[in-house]
Amino acid sequence: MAKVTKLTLAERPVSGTGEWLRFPDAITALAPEDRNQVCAYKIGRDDTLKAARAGRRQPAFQLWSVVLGHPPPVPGVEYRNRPEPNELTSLVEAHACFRGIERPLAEDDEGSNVVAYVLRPKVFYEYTADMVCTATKVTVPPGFVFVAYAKLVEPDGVPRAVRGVLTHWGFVEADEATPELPVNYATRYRVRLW
Amino acid sequence: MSQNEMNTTDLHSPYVPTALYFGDADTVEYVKRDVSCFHRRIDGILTLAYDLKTRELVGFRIKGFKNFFLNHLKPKYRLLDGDFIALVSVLEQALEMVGDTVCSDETRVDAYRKARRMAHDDRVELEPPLAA
Repeated sequence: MAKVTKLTLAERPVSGTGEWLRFPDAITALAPEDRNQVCAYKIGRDDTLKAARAGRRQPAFQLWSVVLGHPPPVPGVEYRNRPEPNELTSLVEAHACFRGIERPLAEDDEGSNVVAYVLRPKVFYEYTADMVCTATKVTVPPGFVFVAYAKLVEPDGVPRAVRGVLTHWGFVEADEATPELPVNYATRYRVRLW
Repeated sequence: MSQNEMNTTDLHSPYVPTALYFGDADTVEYVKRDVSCFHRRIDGILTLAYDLKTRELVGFRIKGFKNFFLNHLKPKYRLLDGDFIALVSVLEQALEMVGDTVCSDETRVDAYRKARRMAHDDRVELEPPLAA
């Protein structure tokens, strides 16, 4: 398996107003066709910014804490939550990958060019309306996994350094028989890649 | 990020429940509260959103919206630029499209009913998401 890497110190954002919406341009993941290789995805920031403009912060906080592996860079986050090393997951730590989401995504009628990375975080950060610090570290309840979806840009072409765009992410119920995978994984995705 | 974006994305403004079209994910999403959610896939069109802690239904997603809007909603409702769309109508049209396959599955029927009721009770509307 490829070496697991998280954001370097230089890549880590500085906490402060507005920094929580300054995402890295790209994120490292294991390649969908070969988990021994790494690739990168651009982060589709428009949807997260749109949600934030409407006052929805959870998608951004989940992006930071489950996909990027870093507490949301908001004032007071470290003082309040005492982050511990390696307690957060990042996309490169996904343990399963599927392709095909069995529903249209824009021009892709069956979502066949979408890959789903499955993570199993223990903790994550959520938004709380608090004057001191708006990010709170919470434990993921049992029975859930986290899935991050990426749209492949040139799915049938030569593999590129940037394979596509990370489009959306979130918690889903875990399968009862195979709790490290999403419920109904056999029917909700077309094929398991690894 | 522009200064304008920075100013409108502060951390303390209240969440106003709004249906939003997310272009990258090609979904319309509505949630009543900005809480951590988990999503339960109903079918290729509908996903319900539940509060991760309380497991209360807090919203829904309508997926594959671009194609659905252009081929089913815009022609039928003769929408003009600037018109808002009632999500009740969207869900009814979605239900009509999936038709018999849903009616034979009580769980799916119940999910569509719940989403429709929420869209109705909360008077959820969506600003036309696509310029096309």
